[in-house]
Amino acid sequence: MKIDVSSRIFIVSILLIGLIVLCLFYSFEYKKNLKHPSYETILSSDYPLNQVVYVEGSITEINQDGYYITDNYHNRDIIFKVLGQSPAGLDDEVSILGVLGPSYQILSVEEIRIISDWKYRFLLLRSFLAFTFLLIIFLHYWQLNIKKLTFERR
Amino acid sequence: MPDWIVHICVAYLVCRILYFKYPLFNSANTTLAMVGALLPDIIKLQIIFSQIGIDLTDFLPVFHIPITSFLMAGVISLFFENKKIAFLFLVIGAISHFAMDSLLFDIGEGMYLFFPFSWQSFHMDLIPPDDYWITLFILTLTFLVYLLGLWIQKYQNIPVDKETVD
Repeated sequence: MKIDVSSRIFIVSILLIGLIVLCLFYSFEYKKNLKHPSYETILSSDYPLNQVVYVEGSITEINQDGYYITDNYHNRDIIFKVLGQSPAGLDDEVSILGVLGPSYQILSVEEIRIISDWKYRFLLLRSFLAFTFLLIIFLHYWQLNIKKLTFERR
Repeated sequence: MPDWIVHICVAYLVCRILYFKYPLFNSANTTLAMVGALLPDIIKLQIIFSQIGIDLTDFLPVFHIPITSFLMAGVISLFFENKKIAFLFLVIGAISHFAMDSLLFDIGEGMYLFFPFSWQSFHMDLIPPDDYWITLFILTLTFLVYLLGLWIQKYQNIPVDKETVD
């Protein structure tokens, strides 16, 4: 199937417009369809007190009556205090489903998932290695023809 | 997410096994499926952007949804000579990605597989996302299938790669 460059630019533009529309639709609608209140709701005046919320972040402090998790939302740090003994260590990543109390406290944890810091870093490292490997074998089989702006078999 | 080793290996396994029967699933096209298997994880660019202070939290998650990945596959396939084949393999890779991700434990929202038609989310809660034993298992299986492929090519005269039907 041969498509000249101008037609290709046209089709790419149409597909990209489709992508942008989907992005916008998603960003406007997804908060209305979440099972649990979003960070936006938690940070708003409509604070979902005593509701089950989903929060995540890394453990930044542990003390006797609980631990603190910090997450970043729109370049703003949100700190939640989770009551109870910490099931993980400092810097570990946790996702929590729990009941939100006053002052960003999680009163009771219904469900928790922990990814230890080293496991998270190891996951990123091996994914980076996999990506590098893929790049090498892709370029082994395909080369870019700049004039035609297409990848061709080597 | 399962790590990218798992995603790449699963796409390879699917294509390599099908190659025993269909020459279309040759190595070059298999690399396209492997690229397709990482397409939905464009969302992970968020890690890089957040490091440089750019916040795309509301926009990038949409890339981890089938319809968006298929659109991306459509865009990328236009940069290949045989666009239909390129699109097909990129989509095979993307589907393998969603199949693997749907197996993960997820106490959050899950994946909106039918967005924008439905906000029904899916996850099967079978595999922890950070489990490296799964990676090791898939890696071993991939190596075994690779060796089996070499053996079959050598002793049963199945054409080796250059062949191509693309």
